[in-house]
Amino acid sequence: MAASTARAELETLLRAKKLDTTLTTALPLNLVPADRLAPTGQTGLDRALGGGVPRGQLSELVGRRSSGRTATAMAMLADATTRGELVAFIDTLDRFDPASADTAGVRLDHLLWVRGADGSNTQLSLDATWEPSRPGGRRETPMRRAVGRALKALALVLSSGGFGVVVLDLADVPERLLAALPFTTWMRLQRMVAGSDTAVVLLADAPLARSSGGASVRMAGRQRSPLERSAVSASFRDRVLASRRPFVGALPSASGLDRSRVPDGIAGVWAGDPVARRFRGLAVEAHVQAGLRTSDCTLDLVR
Amino acid sequence: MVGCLLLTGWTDAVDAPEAALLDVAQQYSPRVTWAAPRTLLADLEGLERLFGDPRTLGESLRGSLADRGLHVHLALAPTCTTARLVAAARAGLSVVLPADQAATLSALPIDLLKTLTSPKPATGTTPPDRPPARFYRMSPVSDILRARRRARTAVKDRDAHDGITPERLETFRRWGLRTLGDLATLPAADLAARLGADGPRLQALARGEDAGPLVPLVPEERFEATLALEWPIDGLEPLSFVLGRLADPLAAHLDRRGRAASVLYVDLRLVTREVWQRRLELPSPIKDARTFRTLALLDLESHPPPAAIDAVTLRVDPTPAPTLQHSLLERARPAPEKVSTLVARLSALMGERRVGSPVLLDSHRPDAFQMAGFAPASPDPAAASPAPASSLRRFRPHVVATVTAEDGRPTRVRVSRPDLPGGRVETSAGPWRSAGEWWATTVWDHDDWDVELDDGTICRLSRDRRKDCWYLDGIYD
Repeated sequence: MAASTARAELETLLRAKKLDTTLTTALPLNLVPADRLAPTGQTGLDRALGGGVPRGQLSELVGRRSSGRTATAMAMLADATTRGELVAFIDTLDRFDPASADTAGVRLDHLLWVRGADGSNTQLSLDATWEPSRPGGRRETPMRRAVGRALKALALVLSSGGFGVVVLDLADVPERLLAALPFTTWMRLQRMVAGSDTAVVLLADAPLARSSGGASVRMAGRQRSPLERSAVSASFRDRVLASRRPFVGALPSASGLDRSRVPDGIAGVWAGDPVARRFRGLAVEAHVQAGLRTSDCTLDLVR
Repeated sequence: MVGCLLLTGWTDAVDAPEAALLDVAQQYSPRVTWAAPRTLLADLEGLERLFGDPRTLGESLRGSLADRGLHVHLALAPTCTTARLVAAARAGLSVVLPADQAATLSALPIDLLKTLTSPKPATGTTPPDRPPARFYRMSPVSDILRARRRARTAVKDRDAHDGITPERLETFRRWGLRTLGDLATLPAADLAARLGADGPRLQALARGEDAGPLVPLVPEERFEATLALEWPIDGLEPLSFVLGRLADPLAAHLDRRGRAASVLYVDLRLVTREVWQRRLELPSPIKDARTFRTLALLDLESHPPPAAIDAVTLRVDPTPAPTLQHSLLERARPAPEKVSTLVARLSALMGERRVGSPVLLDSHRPDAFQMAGFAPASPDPAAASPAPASSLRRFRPHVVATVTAEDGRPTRVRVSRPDLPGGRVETSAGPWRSAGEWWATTVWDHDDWDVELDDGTICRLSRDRRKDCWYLDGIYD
């Protein structure tokens, strides 16, 4: 009796401090109600996660370059926008590709894209090794400033509310710079998102800041099939082709251009079938960790 | 009791007679309206308690007009139609009591109906008999459409004249009708049988009946608030209090009228006598005072005035306030005010045009998109289901790469930045040639390659054929 009373008092105190969700009610993902999960749009990963990424928690998709983390995030955004939810992409280094998102099925009008560092002005300064010292103070690099702005932008988006999925892209940011962030940063963000309907997903090179109720997905991708070492197609014409849209099977019309009537040498012939010879996508092995439970799955991300 | 003021002349001292007429009439009644050019109707109901009988009221009004140098025919009658007919027929002051209305009108000539012609110009314009020759096709369908168009135009023209055309008056004259009383006493059914719907309507006018109520003029409503400061202020913190003080009554005014703001203007009069103007396009109609203040402050943070501020004016372009119907089946979305504030805060943090939704352009140029405001449309139930696809992480601008090529194929990639990939090329595919816009300065002409490096990174390279240099476009991820 005394133990139950003490426990009730402890829970009340934790609830008063808004720590109840982190210590007492962080459920395993398979016990989280379905409406508190944001599906990733990929069956295998959803099965491993128990239905999707939990809402009201910080989760993370981590992996090295070309491991499929961005594609998985796009699939998650696409699934959310198809359900009519609003989504946000905090793009720390301005590397989001709208054409890829469109191909993945993201409804772009439902996407709030917050573009980070303007590379046109700071291309040199984005070099992580370039850190001019400020007299008498902490060294401030544009990269560090970009990360700080991205975190502020994430905080603004979370405080606004109403977004189903919010992705913070910290991939390609040097790990030592992320490690230098105050540890309270992530706790503060977790406190902001706790109890809301927003699923926050961090994209990073290495595990960074999963909350206790969130999920970590470590990804390792490889090509679905080797790139074909073919020479230039004989049917490829020299001075043609307005361009291509790489993520769609058929070349769409651009500006009403009728490719079949444009003479060679000006624009507009799609020669051969180049899609069949180029990069076809990624086969991804994902290691999922949610609470104490871990599982593995494979994903197929096609071009 | 309605008064009709028909302006017939004015002295040389009067510059704007119609404005003076309106001014005098509004001193007696706030419910006034223009019935025709130089013809003003005023609702004088209830003024008997101030002025006594209608004749005294009319003499007072006429005296006020004479003091302003205006000569009018003034008629006071129970209805607007009667007042207009009597004012057109008689000079000076005429008072028609309800009991005398029929007798007064019956003696007036029927030609006075012409004075009831609507002041509005005819909205219908006669379309050309036939379209330009190169588009013209003779067909029964086009004939039918043209006939319908003419019929619609005729109805519009008739409505513009209230059905009183010279042809109709000529008809009355042939019937032997000379006065309004002659027309008023005709059998309504027979009149309708001969003239259609125009017959009863004209007869009602001849009896002095109004077709509609008097609709008073409403002064153009301006949604703005101004505050002249006793001491100039410099800095945004004191300005925030001023903006809050202006935004509150402005939002209340909008709310009372069922309006919201589509554009917010902030005009700051500076101590240098200049006016610092800011214009904020709102992504959705807003009528929240805190949002007005926040948006204005965030904009002024990015565009601060160059000098101290003497006076502040906040004004908006009004638009009908939106009504939001929430759904039980869809997840609740943030309110437009919240979205606007969020976008403004993010824009202030990240920079102009760095926040919004991307819109793909209809172009084959790589990375062809433009930023648009974040204004999500309603969900489309027929939207295609998403398909998992690999994604590109694009470098903006392209990173210059040093590429070693053998037989035209890249074999090694080096970039000057250590945070970007480089190394030996394991496999490659390409090239995919792409060129366009040779007629503009945005011309591009390059070959694209997909390469897999020895560390497993899959990149997209491009070789600019015009400059003969290589770039790292992005990384597949």
